[in-house]
Amino acid sequence: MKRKLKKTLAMMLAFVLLASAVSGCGSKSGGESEKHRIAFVSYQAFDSSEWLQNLTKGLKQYEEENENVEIKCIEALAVDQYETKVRACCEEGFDIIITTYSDMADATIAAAADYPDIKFGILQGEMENIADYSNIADFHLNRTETAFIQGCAAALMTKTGKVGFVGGSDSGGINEILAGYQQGIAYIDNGTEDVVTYCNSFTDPTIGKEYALQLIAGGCDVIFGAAGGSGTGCAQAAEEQGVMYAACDVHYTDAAPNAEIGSAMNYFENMVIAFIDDTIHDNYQGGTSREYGIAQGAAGYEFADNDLAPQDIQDQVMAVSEKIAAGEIEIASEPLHK
Amino acid sequence: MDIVTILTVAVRHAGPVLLVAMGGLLASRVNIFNLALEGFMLIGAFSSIVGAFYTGNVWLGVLFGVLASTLMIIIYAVFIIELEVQPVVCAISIITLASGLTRYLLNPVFGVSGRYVLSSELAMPVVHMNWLEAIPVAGQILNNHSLLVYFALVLPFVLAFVINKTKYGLDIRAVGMNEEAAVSAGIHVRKVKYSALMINGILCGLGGAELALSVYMFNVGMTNGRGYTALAAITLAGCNPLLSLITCLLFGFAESLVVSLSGVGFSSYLLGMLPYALALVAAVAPQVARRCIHFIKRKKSETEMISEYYRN
Repeated sequence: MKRKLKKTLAMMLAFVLLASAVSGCGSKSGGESEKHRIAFVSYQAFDSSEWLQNLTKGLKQYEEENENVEIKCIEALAVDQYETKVRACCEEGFDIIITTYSDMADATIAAAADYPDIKFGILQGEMENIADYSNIADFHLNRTETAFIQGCAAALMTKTGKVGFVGGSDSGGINEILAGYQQGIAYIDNGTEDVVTYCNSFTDPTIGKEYALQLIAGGCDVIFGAAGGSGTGCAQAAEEQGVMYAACDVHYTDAAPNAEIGSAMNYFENMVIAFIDDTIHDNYQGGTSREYGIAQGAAGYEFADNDLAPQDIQDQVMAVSEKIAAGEIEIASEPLHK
Repeated sequence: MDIVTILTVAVRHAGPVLLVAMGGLLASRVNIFNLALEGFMLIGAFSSIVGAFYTGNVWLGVLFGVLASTLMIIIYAVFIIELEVQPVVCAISIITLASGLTRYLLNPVFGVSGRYVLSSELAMPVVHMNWLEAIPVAGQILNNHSLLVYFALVLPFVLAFVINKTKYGLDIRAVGMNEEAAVSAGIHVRKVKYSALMINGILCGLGGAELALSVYMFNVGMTNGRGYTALAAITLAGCNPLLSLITCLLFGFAESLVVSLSGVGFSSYLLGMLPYALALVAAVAPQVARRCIHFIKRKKSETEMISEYYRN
């Protein structure tokens, strides 16, 4: 009985393997020399967050609109898969390979060294010595600009004169957002204080909520969450306690329908598409690092669809946004304090 | 933040971990090192939100979470008891499956990705007890928690009684200490293992449900290592239910302390380390204390012997 069960399981496993191998073959397409073949390798699962969903949706649409482009989105979810999958893409004959985040930088560098003809791009690579690699282009989102606007909105909306910040981790990317936020508050210059906390997780709404409650108990009436899923907990705390929430990346109106002021939105899809567009139109800049911000349509501030922010404040905030897009405001990437 | 708030938050934090820890403790007691607590908890959390969403009732949601996590643990049990798969290997696959499945199913079930927030009517209700208000500090700390947190606080005592004083507890201990001897004593080992694992599944489901429904939302990976914390807590306590209660509360306290110390200028790296540093102290302190007591006793008896000798 036990043996039979084992046998059946083994056969099922073999069948699954066979099936996946067959389906893998199916996606290989015939080589047209005109066609640009692009691989997008994500280190996070595509359905794990909204920005990645938007990104894949955007890429798919771009692929449909442009006949000479073929885009394949691939997940590499563990460190040991990064280099293997990137190399597999090289072998498959992709002309442009886009990897994601500094996590994948080492794998990208290793693969790029062996395939000098392939153009590599890394999204949010944060690579320091990018100039050493002629076939890697780093492109990243400027988060300080929208965070600056969020800071302005928070300073204009607060009634207690004290606003809070909950970051997912005390790291480079989050601190850039913090830097923008603090300078935005300073720009309004109405004596608003800010309190900085880090909840050390991007997926824990329970702990995020506790951090927000702590800030609210300390007198903050605007909470800015830059902590992914933990931020959902902050939004919920703000909604329950009747204070305001300032969102990041996407809208949090599912958790804070009446409390969200607005969100420092990111449009990663526009950035990746802009990069692909540049590259296939012979405007590839390997060995450089490029920043995309409000002016390039990769970021923007959006007010939530509720009546929280009065029209005059909205106008004031959007005026700041226009100034930033026009390059009239200089924003540093170092936080004023932690 | 004052100490009463810190302790209240600590109890709230410890609740789900405690439920899961007690489940893992039972599994450990029948000699199954259940590394997959995290996975079962995540399944419980997700399913409870699905259940609450479809039935519109919190408690049916809890039931749904419990059922799903129990179902999952039965699969796990079949693999390790019938097919003799290494429990740790099986646990890793369960964890992977749980994190992938919950992430994937968010889309077909709710049509969203990353997270789903229920309406606030489906939040786990908190119980307010008027008579507790009369007790100065402890009353405040223990008041206004959800029913499952109270259940979690009582559970270690129930388990301590069951394990030490009942026939079933004796069977569990026998299986855990020496399986072959248990077989020869006429204990139905397989049945005991299955039942212990099923209780483990139920408790993981409850822990997950408490975690998810108290914030009435599911977020990908929202258990955030609580299953491992539970495992660490019972390992520290040597699988003793009452000591596990203390270690779980200690972990809750550490988390809560970190929250209350944040925002006043402490380095977040140091704060992030605090729970683990506390755990280390908790693990080492009893040993050190035991050694010290042993040393003092020996010295004392030596001096007594010497003085006795000279007196004679």
